[in-house]
Amino acid sequence: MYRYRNLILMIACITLLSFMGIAVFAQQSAGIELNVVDSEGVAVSNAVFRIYKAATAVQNQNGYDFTWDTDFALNGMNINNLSDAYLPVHLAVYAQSRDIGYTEVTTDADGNIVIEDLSLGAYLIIPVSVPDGYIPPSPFVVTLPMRGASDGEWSFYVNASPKVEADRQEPEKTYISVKKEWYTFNTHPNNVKTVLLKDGEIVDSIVLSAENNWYFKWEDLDKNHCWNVIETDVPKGYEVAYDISEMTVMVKNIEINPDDNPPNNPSDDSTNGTTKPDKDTTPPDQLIQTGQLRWPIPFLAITGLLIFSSGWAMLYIGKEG
Amino acid sequence: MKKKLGIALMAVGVICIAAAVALLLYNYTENKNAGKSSAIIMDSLRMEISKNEVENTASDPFDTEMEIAEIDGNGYIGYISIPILDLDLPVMAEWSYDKLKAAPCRYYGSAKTDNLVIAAHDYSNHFGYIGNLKPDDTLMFTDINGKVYSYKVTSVDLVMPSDTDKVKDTGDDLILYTCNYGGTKRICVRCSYLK
Repeated sequence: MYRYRNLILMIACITLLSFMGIAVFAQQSAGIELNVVDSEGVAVSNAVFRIYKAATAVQNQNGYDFTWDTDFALNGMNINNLSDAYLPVHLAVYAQSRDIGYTEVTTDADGNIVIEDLSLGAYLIIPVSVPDGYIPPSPFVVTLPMRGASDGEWSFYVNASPKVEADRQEPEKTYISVKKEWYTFNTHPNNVKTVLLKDGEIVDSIVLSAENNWYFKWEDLDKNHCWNVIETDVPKGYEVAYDISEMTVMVKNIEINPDDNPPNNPSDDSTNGTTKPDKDTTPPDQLIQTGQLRWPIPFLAITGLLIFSSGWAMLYIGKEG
Repeated sequence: MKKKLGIALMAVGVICIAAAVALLLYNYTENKNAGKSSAIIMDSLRMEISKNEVENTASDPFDTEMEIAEIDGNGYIGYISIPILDLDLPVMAEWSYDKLKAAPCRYYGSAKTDNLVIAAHDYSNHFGYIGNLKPDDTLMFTDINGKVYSYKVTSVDLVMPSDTDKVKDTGDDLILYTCNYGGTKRICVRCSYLK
């Protein structure tokens, strides 16, 4: 009995230690350091950035799995596209249009920001303001941990150096075009809306459809600003992905398996669909009956007059005869 | 015998005429009540919209569903203005036959995704005269946040009640529809968005 008690104690200790190990790992802290410099390598102070936590990382056998946090679950892009250059632009519009919590940080005199004690995941970093004479950098995403491109090692403290360009104030013009591609075996929506972003702000929108050959080009754009195109209304049942070639943004909508829909995806039929009647009295394949009952009025009136007249004739004309 | 038959025919004739008059009065009352309830809702809706404008409620560009304001237990997505018919009518978020007696209702889609379809009864102060609209006539839809979507009429046509595919996702940015006189077809006013 005594021998068994020791064995049980030993198993309990091993179990406890294993859980402690997991707990220690779950609390693995990480951090981001930003060094903001201009194209000449000069530090830029007083640049303000917003940091959003967009996804959470969990270790697996081969590395880390990332899953969107609840606030970002409906953004319409695949979590596996974290390295997609266009993902931060898409997420930035998504985040700023919603009430999502963020941390605001400002560069010090050396152009540095150090953020520590972050939990593992993907962080969206959006420039809010830069000193006069500079153009803000594009939003970007930092994953914690981040795998080194050369050694494949996971880094828990990541250094990023977003570059701000000096505002040249030159009246140079540029353009940006958008092209739509559908990846589905079924019929896809007849049209889809894309928006033009100027330094991250929506300034125009265009509906792409077969009529414009699913293509549009914005011309005469000020080259001193950053121009992007994204799809804000990702059709239900699709994910969006972007391919950029020169100044053309290819917006791809890929049909997803309904079972793969992210959690909290609104699935009620009223979303952008036919609204349900309170009492389902009309077959769904019929348009609503919206007319008053009028046709019987002249029919009843004329018939009534005719019948009345014939009765009257029968009663009085016959009498006179 | 002939006298009795004459009296009976006269009685039936009177009943038919009375039924016609009763139906006429019922339609008239329903028509009048519809106009009255729409006008009352419009006042509340305008107040709600001006409140949202003051609060500068930001519209979510990722949300294709329209914001809804609750007034007297019914949800509204905004109001439709047809200046040429001198109409300003609230639009309910969902439809039912009871709701249609008070105001036009959204049948399908969203102004945000340029496929909004609004149905209403053919009351004289609802959609009774939309068949008189002509191409290039303008109309506006104002959402709950005060955002105004301007449209111009591109065509007016008749569709069968079973032609749901001729109103849903047709490429028209806005469609208004109501019944024709006999209720056998639907008058569709198709509009395109004016930037």
